[in-house]
Amino acid sequence: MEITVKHLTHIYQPNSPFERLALDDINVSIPFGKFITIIGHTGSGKSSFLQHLNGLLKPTKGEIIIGDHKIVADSKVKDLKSLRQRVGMVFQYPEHQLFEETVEKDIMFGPLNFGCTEDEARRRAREALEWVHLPESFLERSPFDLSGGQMRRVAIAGILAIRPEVLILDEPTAGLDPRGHREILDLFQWLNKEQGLTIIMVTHNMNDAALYSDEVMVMDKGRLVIKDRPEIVFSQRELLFDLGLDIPQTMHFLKRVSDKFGKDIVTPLFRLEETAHYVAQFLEKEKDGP
Amino acid sequence: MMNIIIGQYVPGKSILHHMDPRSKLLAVFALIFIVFLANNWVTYGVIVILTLVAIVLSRVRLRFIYKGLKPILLVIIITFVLNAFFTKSGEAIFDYGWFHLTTGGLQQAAFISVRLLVIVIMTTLLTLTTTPIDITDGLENLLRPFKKLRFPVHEFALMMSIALRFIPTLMEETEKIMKAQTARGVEFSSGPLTQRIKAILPLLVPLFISAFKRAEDLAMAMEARGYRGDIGRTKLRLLKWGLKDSLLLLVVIVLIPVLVLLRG
Amino acid sequence: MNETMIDIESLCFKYRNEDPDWILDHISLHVEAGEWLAITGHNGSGKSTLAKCLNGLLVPEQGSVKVKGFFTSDEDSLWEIRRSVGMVFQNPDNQFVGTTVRDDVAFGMENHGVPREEMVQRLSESLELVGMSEFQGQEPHRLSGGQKQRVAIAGIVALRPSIIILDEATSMLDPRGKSDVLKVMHELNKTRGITVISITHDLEEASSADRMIVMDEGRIVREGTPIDIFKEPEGLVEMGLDLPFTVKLRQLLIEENGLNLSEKAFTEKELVDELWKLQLNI
Repeated sequence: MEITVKHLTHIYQPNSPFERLALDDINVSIPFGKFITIIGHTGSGKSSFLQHLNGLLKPTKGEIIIGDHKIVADSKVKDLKSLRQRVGMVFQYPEHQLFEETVEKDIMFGPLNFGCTEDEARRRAREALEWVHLPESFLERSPFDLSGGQMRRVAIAGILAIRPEVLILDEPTAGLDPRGHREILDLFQWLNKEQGLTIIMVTHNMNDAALYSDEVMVMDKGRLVIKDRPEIVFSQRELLFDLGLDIPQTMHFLKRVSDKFGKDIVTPLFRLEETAHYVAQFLEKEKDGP
Repeated sequence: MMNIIIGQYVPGKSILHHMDPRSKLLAVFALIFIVFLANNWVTYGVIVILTLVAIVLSRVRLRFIYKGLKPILLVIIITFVLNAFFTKSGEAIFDYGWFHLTTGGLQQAAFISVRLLVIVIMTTLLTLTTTPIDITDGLENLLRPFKKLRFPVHEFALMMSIALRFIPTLMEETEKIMKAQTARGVEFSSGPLTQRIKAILPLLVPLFISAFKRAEDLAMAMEARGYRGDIGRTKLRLLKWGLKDSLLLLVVIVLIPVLVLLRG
Repeated sequence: MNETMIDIESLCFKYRNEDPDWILDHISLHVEAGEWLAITGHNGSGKSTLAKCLNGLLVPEQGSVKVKGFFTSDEDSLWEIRRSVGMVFQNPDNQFVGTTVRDDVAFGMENHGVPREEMVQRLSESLELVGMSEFQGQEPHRLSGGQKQRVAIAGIVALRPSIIILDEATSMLDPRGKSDVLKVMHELNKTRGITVISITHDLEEASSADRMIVMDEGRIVREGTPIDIFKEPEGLVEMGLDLPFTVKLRQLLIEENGLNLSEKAFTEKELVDELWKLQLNI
């Protein structure tokens, strides 16, 4: 089972003065269980693409197949609700969707909508809260008394409690401080590795894209430019710069080292430890000299 | 509702677009009363011709004017029917029980409908050729004398302009929250009515919370930028009264004796 | 010694009287004309509250805040203080008052009674400075976050301020918006000598400052140049902060790989230069 997108095209407000081509003939397939990140600057079509994956936007042309669900242009989607149960979507600043009196009720809201019993929803709320590393005592608190980072985790727990198989994230760390940022990303990595969730995440942070994902999708002007492993994508310096994107810090540093020493370092490395180790060894070799 | 407030203005370069909002506001306001002076075919003719001239001058496509009329069309039709069947004067054309159709009735119905139409078209033309912010500025300026009566004219105008500025932002926000809740299994556009009413809460609560937060932030930002009410304030926006504005008012004023003389 | 811009003497503040702890706990701080000061700390460390004390949006409970010789507790000076201390807030949308870019830039000048002729002149001048001249008539919902923040800066610059405070002004922006805003601010700092106080938890951003302050639980726990502060990175991570990339890499090269690097290397270039020397020496 996997996500397959064929010739996906989306036009906003067709036949109006505001007509805009948001997605242009996207073809991609994403196997279940992968961690995918999407990069591209604002207006490249990332968010539009995400919203097609759980039927919030409908294709103008093309089709999207997710497991046994099929979304095709010009036809009513069957069983949209069960699709949305399987594909969970966390929007940017998800804490803006909180509305219940207590954290528990807010997390239960999704599961209840998708037909869970009260008891089952309550059980899932507890579990989801544990997943996002918040103490059980939070269940009875009002979500509006929490800090920004805690609110975001409650909102994410609200989606996790729906028990999606695919989790879609639109810049989930925007506005968080460094600690919050790290903890949230570690959570997604854990969900991917330990719970087997497929994760599709939009980010502006090249380091995160390089460190966390199995594959990186690069988008520009509604088109999919490249989709490959981070080592391959981030070796394409010039291409990324042309698209107004960047490379991870470790790659910047290695490039600087190779320029200084007049050697071509082509090994793509993203982890700091690896980079430090590599540079130390490189220096060792240089010392011994040719 | 949204269409009435913001979707109205059609950018253009016509003479009506370039006029001072104050002259347009005054003219439309005066016309609403002047229309009542008309009471026969000639006087109504004058007013209809004037309206047609205004439409031509605005260079706005008829489609937009029709859009402005649509919400009020039913009212006009009902007015016409009621007047036609319940006024008894002149020769009878048709008579059946409660219903009488007379020539006088028909004429009366036509007059009243035209009167309504003219008023609606004139106000529509005002909003089609004047940006909401210009209307606000014009109103603020015209209402200035009421400041002496402690009417908060400046605050009222500022409130209007901030509301105008935030309408698109809040609409975007509404759409975003709707999508977020849809992803949590809410159905806004299908299902039984009771369920749809229930779906309003997860939309309204976040929307209000965010609107309050915005208001709080905005108040703080305004204070930081030195806002302290109307005291010692200058204005960037200028209203320019030109020859064409004086002419417009002259036409309106001249219209009064003309209509009085031609009245039957 | 430069002119003193801001002088804070053991400032204490809390939002509600019944709160047990101070949000700002005996803060003392001097800011000099023309410097770029970064104030950092995790969310809830009190840094944004401190920012709001600098232009009298919040008034000290104890102690005092003096801006260019005026006390913020003095109601009569508030207006002048707010003219000379501009503030860019976090959310670009919630500080845009005007219906168009022009109107918004003018808002501050209107409040301060700048005569119209001069207003028009300053308007185009400040829009030019932030690179937003072509957007004069644009409505806010057609602008990106970075563009809106630059309009906010233009509105402040038009008031000829001495100090601009960035209250997490780049935290909601995409990388391009962020770098555009910072570029404009560095330009203003260098060419116009405007003092910049940047409240941020982005350590890369903070490390480009002249001076840095680290806050934790309402207190100033570290103060110095970024180089000095990152010489001893211990404790910063525990406070919920991150370290700049080069600092982390330097630590690893020294501690894990036994390289004999100094603790001075701070930029990428300096670090690579030290590596180069290391290779030549042996």
